[in-house]
Amino acid sequence: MSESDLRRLLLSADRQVQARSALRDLLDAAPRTLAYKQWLSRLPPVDGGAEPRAIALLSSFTLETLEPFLQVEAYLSGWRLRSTYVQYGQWQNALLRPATLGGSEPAAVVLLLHDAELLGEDFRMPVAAALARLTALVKAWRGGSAQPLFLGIVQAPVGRHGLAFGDQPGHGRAAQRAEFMRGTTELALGLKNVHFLDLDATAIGVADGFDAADYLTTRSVFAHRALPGVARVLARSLGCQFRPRRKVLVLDLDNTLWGGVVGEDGVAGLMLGQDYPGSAYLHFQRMALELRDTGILLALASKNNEADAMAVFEQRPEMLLRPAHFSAHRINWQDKPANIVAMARQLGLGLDSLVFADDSPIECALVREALPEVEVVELGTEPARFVDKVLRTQAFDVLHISEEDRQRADSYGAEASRQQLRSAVTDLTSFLVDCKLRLVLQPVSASTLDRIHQLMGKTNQFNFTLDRPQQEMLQSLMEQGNCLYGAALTDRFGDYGLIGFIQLQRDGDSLKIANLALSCRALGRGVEDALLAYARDRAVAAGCKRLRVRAARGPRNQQVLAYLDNAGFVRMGDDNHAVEFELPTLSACLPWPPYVAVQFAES
Amino acid sequence: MTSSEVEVRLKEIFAAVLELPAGEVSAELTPQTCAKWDSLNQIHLINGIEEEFGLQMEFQDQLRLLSFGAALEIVNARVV
Repeated sequence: MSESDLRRLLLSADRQVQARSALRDLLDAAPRTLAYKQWLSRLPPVDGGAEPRAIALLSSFTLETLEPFLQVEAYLSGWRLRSTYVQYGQWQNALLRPATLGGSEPAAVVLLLHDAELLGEDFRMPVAAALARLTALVKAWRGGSAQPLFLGIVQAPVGRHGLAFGDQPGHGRAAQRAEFMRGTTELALGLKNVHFLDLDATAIGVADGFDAADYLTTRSVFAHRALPGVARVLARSLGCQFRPRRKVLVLDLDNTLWGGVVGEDGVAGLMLGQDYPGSAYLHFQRMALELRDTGILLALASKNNEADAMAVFEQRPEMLLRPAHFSAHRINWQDKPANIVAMARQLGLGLDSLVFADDSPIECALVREALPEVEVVELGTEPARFVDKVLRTQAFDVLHISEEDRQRADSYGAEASRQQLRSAVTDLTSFLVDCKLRLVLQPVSASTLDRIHQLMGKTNQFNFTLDRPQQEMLQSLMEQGNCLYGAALTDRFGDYGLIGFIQLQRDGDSLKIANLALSCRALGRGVEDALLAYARDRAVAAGCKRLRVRAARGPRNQQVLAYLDNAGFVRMGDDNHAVEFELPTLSACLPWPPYVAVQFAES
Repeated sequence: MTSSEVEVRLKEIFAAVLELPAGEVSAELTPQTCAKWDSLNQIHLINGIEEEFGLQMEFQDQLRLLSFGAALEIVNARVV
C-alpha cells in the first residue's frame, strides 16, 4: 500500500480496522523513531472516536521517551490515551499517595521497575526483602485506589552480564533475578486487578533491550530500539480493558489448515504431518484449538465441495481440528463475504466480532472491501508465519479467561441443536415453548461479580448504557446494597450460563433501570421481556409511579431503542449520546413472557 | 552518501520529531527558536539520527547537537 493510500485510510472512519492493520505492517517492517514520529502526526484526531483513556505511568527510570511510541501503539490496539508520567524518583510516593497522580482519576496505572531499583545496583539486597518492600507498596496502593495496576519488572542493566558477576544459570545474579521475577509474578497473580506485564526479550521482540549508553546518559533502561516493542506490550495489555475481544476465527481450508488443494491434490496428497510444511499447518491448527479453549469460536469458509473437505477430516488422522470444533461452516462455491455474513447471523454475532484468515490475497481483498468491520488476516504463502499473523492482530488478546470462556465454544454446539429445531418449527412461539426455557434471577454476589463484569465489558448489542465499569465499581455498588440482579438461563438443550444483568435505582417517585445488559446469545428468548417485567413489578411493589430508562446511542445497540419504543416507553429527551425513556403507566404493559419459567433465587 | 542526501534525510528527521514542515528546518534552527525542541525531543533527535544513519553518536556530539547546522556537521563527519 502506498503512503498516500494509507494516509487516506487512516482518516476514513469506516476503514479503521484495515488502517490499523496496514499501519502495523508498515511500522513492523522498520520500527524506528522517525516512522513513529511521522505517523503519530497522521493518526485520526482523537475526538473523532472514543474518549482518550487517562493512564498514569510510574517508573524507576526515565520512561517519557516512550510517549510517541505508546500513542501510536495504543491506536494500533484500538484505543487512545492521555498519559501522565510520574518522575522516576517519585514512584513510591505516588503509590502511597494516589492523589499525587494528578487531577482526573486514571483509567489504569502502569508501574515499571528495573530490578536493580529493588535489589540494589550491586544486587546486595536479599530477594525476600526486596519482594516484601514491593508487596507492601503495591498493597498500600491497592488499599487506597481501585484502578487496575499493570506491573512490569525490567531486568536491567542486563548489559552487565557475564560470568564475572556470577550470572551463570542457577547461581548468583541469574538465580536472584529468576527468583525476583517469580515473586513479582506471584504478587500480581495474587492481587485482584493487578496484572503482570511481560517485558522479556521475546515479548518485546528485541534481543538486547538494554543499552549502557542510553541508561547512563538518559537513565532509560530501555535502549531506543526496544521502545516500539515495549510500547506494544503496554498498549496491548491495557487495551484489553478498553475494547471488546473478537469472538470468532473464520478459517479457510486449502493452503490454510493443510498444504495443498484437496480438489486437485486429493485427500492423500495434502501436506500434514511431522515434516515441514505439513508441521506448520498442524502448528496453526493447534493455535486454533488453543484459542477455542479460551472462548473463541471457530468457523469455516471454504470454496470446495463439502464432501471433499469432509473426507480430509475423516481420512487424515493427523488433523487436530475435528468437524465438531467448528461452530459454523460454509463449504460451497458462493462468495465468501455472503457466507461470512450468513455465519455471523447464525452465531448471533456482529461482523465486528469476526477475524477471517485466508491464504488467498483475492479472497482477503474481497472480504476487506465488502465487510470492513471484519479483521482480515492475509496468511500468505509461508505457513510457519500463520500463527504470528493471526495473533499479532491482537483481536483475541485477553487478560483473564473465565470458566464461561472455556465453555463457550461447546455451548454453541447446543445452539446448533436449537437452530435445527428452529428451522423445523415454523412459528417462533411454539419454538420457544418447545425450548422449555428456565430463567433464574438472583442478586449479584461475590461469586457472580466476575461474570457480571465480563458481561458489561463485552455486550454490545443489547446494552442500555454501554458503560464498561471497573470491577471495583460494581463491587462497591453491590456492597452499598444497590439492586443488582443477574439472570441465568437454561433450556432443554443446555445451559446458557449467566447471560443478563439489571440494575434498578429508586429516584423520587420513579424507578430507574440504571443499567441492563443481555448477552447476544440469549437475545430473542424472552429474557429481555422478563427483565423488564421484573423491573415493572419492583416499581409497583415499591409504590413508584413510573419506570425510567436512559439508553445510550451506540454503534451496535440500536435495537435497544427500538425495543423500548415497542414496549410502550415514551421518548422524553434525546441529547445524541442517549435517549431518555419513560413508561407513563405501570399497568397493562411489559407482560411476563409466557414461555419462560422464572425463578427467584436469594443470595 | 552525499552531503545533500544527508541534509534531506536529516531535515526529514527534524521535521518529524519537532513537528515542523521540512521547509522550516534551516541551519539556524535551535532549541531557543523552536518550542518543541525540549530535552525529550533532544533524545528523540539523537535516537532518530542514530537509527536512520546507522551510527552511534559520541556523548560529546550529543551535547553539541544544539542546532540543525551542528547536526549536519556531526553527521557529515561520520557518513560522507
